[in-house]
Amino acid sequence: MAHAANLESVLSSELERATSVFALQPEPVHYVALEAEDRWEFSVRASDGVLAQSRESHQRTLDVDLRVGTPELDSTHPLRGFSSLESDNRDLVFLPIDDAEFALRHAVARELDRAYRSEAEKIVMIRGERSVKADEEVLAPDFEARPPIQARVEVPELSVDRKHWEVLLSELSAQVERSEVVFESNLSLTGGRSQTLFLDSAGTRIEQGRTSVRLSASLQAIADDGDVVEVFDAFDAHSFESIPDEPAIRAWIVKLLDRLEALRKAPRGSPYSGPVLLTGRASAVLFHEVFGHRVEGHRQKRETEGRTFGEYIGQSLLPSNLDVYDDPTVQKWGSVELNGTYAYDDEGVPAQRAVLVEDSIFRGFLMSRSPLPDFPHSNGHGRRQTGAPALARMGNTIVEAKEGLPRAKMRAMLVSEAKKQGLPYGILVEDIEGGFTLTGRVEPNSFNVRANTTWKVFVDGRPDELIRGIDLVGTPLVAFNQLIAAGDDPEVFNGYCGAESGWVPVSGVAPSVLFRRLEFQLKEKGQERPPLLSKPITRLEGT
Amino acid sequence: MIALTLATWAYAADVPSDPQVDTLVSAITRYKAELALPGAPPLYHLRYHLVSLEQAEAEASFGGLLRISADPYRALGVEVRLGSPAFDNTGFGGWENGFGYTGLPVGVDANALKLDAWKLTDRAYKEAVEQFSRKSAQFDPPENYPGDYTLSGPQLYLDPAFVPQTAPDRLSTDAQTLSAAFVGFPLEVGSVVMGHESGWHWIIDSEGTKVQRPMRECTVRAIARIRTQDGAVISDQRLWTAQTAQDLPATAEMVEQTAQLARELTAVSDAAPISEEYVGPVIFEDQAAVDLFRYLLVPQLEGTPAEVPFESWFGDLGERSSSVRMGRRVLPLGWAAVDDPHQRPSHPSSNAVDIEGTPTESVVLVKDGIVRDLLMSRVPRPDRKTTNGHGRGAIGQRASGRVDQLRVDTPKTSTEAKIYKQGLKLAASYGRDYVLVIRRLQEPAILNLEGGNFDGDANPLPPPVFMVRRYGDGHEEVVRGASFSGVHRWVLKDIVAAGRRVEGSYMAAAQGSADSLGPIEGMPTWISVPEVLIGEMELVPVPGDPSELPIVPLPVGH
Repeated sequence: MAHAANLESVLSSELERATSVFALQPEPVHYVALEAEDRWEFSVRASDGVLAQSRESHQRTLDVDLRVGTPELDSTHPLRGFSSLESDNRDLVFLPIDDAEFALRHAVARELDRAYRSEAEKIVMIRGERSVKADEEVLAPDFEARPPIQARVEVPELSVDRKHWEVLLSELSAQVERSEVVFESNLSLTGGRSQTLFLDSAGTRIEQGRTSVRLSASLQAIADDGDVVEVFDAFDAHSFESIPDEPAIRAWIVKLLDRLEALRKAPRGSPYSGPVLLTGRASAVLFHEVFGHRVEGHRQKRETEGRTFGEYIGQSLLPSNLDVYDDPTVQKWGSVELNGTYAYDDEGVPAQRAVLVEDSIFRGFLMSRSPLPDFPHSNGHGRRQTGAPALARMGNTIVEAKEGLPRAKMRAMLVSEAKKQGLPYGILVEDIEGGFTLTGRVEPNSFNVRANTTWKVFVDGRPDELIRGIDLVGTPLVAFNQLIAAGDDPEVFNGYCGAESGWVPVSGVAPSVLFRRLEFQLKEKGQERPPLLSKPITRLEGT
Repeated sequence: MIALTLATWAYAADVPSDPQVDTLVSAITRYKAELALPGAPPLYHLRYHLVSLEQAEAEASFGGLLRISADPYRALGVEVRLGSPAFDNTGFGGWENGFGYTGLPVGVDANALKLDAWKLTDRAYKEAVEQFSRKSAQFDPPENYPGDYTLSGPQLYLDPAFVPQTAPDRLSTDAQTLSAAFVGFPLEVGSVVMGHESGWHWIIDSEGTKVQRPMRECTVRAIARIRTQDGAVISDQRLWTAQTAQDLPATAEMVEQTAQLARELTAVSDAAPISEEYVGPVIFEDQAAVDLFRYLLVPQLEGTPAEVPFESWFGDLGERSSSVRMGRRVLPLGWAAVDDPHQRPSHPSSNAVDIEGTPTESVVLVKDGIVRDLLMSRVPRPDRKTTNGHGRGAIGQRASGRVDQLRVDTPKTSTEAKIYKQGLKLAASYGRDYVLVIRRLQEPAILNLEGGNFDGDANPLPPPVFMVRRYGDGHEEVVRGASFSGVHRWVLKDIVAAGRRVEGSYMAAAQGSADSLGPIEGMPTWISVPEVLIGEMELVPVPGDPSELPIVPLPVGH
C-alpha cells in the first residue's frame, strides 16, 4: 500500500487554490497544514477455541490544521465559559483508496472549506470573549512559526502470514478455553503500516510512517463473589522479528492462565494507606499518568487546567537520583522496541528529547507548537490520532535512576517502612492494567492507577499474599513527595494513550519505585453471580 | 399462491441434521431443565437465533473508491421467557429483559457455539428473572390483558432451493461507476454505498421449531447533497434493493438514475425558495406517494402492543407509542390495503417465515377504508390474539408485527391529466393558479449528512426535496425550501383522487428512527401505492443558512 500517485500534486494545488480564496476573506489564515495518511491494517483474533476474526483493511484519511488570525492569537485559542461549548469536533475525512483524482480533489477542497468556516467562527468568538473575560493567567502566543523542512523517512515493509496466526491463536484459544475458570477470552494479533505525507503553507514537506505489531491476550474469570477478574497482557513491536517465538508465546499463555486462576481465588483487598513498592512496568504507568500528563505543554495555558507543576520549574520535584525525559527518537530499550518512537511529530517538527526532570530539578514541558512564556519552541511532541487536532503528548517517557537499588533491597525497605508505620504489611504492585488522571480544576486533581497484580508483603515474614479489587489513588504533589527510593531494574510499558487529541502509541520506561505512603481504594466489583450452570468444557486434552 | 407457499415448506424429516443446530437443541434441553433459581418463575419458552452471513460492502465518492470490506457475520440471539404466556418477563421496560445476542467467532463450530450459548443464556436468564420481578412489582394487568405471548407448536422449514451466494465482483466497480455519475454537478456529497449479504438464519425453540430462513440482500444507495445560494442544504437519494445482485437493475440504468438524481438536485438548488406559507391541495407523485403512505398509514397497521414502561428514577424506560387504528377509518371509502410478503418474490422483504419461525400470511389490513386486521407477531392484543407471520425486528429484541410488502388499492383511478385538472380546480378555490406537486421527500436515513434528524413525533412527514408548481398550461416551476406543518394521519382521509401506481423500497429501522441507520442498514420494506391528490395541506417556508455557504468553491469536474 502507498499513497496515491497524484496525492502530492492534488494537495499542493488545492492548498494553493484555497489559499488564494482565503486571502480575499476578512479573517486571514496564517497557517494551513495538510496531512494525508495511507493505512493498511490487519487483525487476527481467536476466542472460544476457534478463529473469531481475520481481516485486512486499507484506508486513506486527511487531516487539515487551519489557523485563522495571527500566530499571537489564532482560532485554536481555547474558548472559555459558555463559548467553550463551540464544537471543535471534526469528522474523519476519507480519501479514495484508488487514484481517482476528482474524488481526491473534491474531498481536500471540501475539508479546507469546512476548516476555514469553522475557524473563522471561532476567532470571532475568541475576540469577543477577550473583551469581557478576565486576563488569562498565562499569556503566550498560540503558534510557533518555524522554518520549513523537507524530510523523507523510509517506512519498512510489513506483511503478515495470517494463516499461520489464525492456526496458532485458535490452538492457543482452545487451550485457554479448556480452563474451567476462563469465562471470556480473546487472543489477538493486530498491526499495520501507515504512511503519512505532511505539507504546510510554510513549505514543509515530510513523508514518514510507522509499522506496528501487537500480540495481546485478554482473559476473564468470574470470582465466587461476582467480581470480574481480568488479565491482559500485550507485546508491542514494529516488526514480527521482535514478537516472541512460538514456545515463548505458549509459555506466556500458561503464565497468564496461572495468574488468572490465582487472581480469581485471591481475596479482595481493603482500603489502605502505607508504603507501596511499584515494580518497573507499574512504575512506568504511574509516571505516565501522574507525571506525564501534567507536563503536557498545552495544559499550562488553559484556564481550566490544574497546572500542577506549573510553578515548579527550577525546583526540586523528585529524589535527587532521578531523571525524567521523553525521547521519541529512542527506538529500543534493551531488546524491547518502544511504542512511542517517531521521527517527526504531527505538526511537522523533528522529535527531540524533552528533559523534564534532571537531578531532581523540574526543567520543562512536553511542547507542541503552542508556546509557553518561557518555552517558545516545540520539542517535537505535537501528536494526535487522525481526525483530531494535535496537542503536546508523551512519546517514550523514560525515568532513569542513578545508583538505583537492587530489587531485594527495595523489598527490604518496603518491609522496614511498613514496620516503622506499625502496619502488618506493605503493598507491592507488580502489574497495572492502565489508569486515568484528572488534571482539571473543578474535579479533584487526582489519579487512579488500575492495579491488577498486587501483593501484601507481610512484615512478619509470612509468604506474600496476592489480592485483587483495589486501585492506587492519590494526588500528584503529595505522591511524589513520598517517593523515597528507586531501583536498578528499569522495565518497559508499551501501550496506547487516549487524551484530547485521540489515541497515540506510547512507551514508559521506569525502575521500581518505593513510596513511603500511598493510598488504595476499592475497585468497582461485578454484581452478577457466577454462571448458574457449569461451563461446558468441550475441548479436552487430546480431543 | 397457496400451492407456491406449500411447495417451499419442508416436512420435519426434510430439515437436515446440522451440528450447530443440534448443539442448540441440546442447549435448550439442558437450560430449560436446569435453569431454575429458587422462587423464580419457570422458564417456559427458550428460543435461539443463529445467523451466518457473508457480508460485503463498498463505498465510493465521485468515482473514487473509499472503502471495501468483505467479512463473515456470525451471531447468536436468545429469547428467554419465564412465567407463562399469560404473563411473562417481556413487553416491559425495554432493556435487560431476557433477550440478547452476541457476535460469534467466524470459525464457530459446535463447541464454540456451546460456550457462547452457555454465556448468553445464563445472562439472559438472570435478566429475565429480574425483569419478571420488576414487571410484577409495577404492572397490574388489566382485565382484558391478552397475555404476552402465544405458543404455536413446532415449526419446520427450509428453502431447499436457496444456495448462499458470494458477493459479486461488481460491488466496488458499480459503486465507483455510479458515484462517477455525480461528477460534473456542483454537489457537496456524491456517494454510493453498495452492500451484499447472503446466508442463513436458523430459528430453534423449545417448542421443537427448526426453521432455516434464507437471508439475501443486495442494496445500493446513492446519496447526493447540494447547497443552495442562500445556504440551504438539500439531499436526496436513490435506493435499489433486491435479493441478489442479478435482480438489481442493470448498472447502466442505475447510472442514469444516479445522474438524474444529480440533475434534479441541481435544478432544485437553482429554484426559487418558497417565500410564503402554502395552504391548498397537494399532489404526491413518485417516491413521495410511497413515503406518504409509509409515514402516515403503516404505523396504523402494525399491531404489536407497545411495551409497558419501567418507571425508573430518570423517567419511563421502554415505552413506545402506538398509533394502531383497528376498526377505524384510515383511508377513504372503497380503499384497501394488503400485506402479502410473496407479491414481490425477488425483493429482500419477501419472506416465507418471519423471525419467530411463523409462516408469513397475506393479510387484508384495510377494507373499504377501515382497518380490519393488523400485522402481528406472536405478542397478542385484545382484539387480535394470534400471529399472522409478520414478526420482524432485530435479533435479540422482541419481534413486532411489521410491514413486509404492502399494497394499497383504490376503487377508482384517474389519469394524470384529470388529477392535475382536479388539483388546479381545488387550488383555484384558495386563490392559486397552480397546484403543488411533490415528487420526493427527504429520506431520514441520510439526514445525518446534515447533522439533523427527523423527529417523526413532532411532524410525521419529512420535508419535501423535489416539488413543483404545476400551472394550468402544463408548465412546471421547481420550488424549494418548505416543510409540512400540522400533518396528521387524517390527511389520508382527505385523499381526493388517486392516479397511477408507483412502488418503492425503504429500509425500516428495527427500533427507533430510520435516521439512525447507516446507508444500507435496516429491514427492507416494499410498498406499492397510487399517486394521490390531497385536498388540503399546509407547508411553511424554511429559510437557508447563509453562514454555511462555502468559501472555497468545490471542484465540479466534467
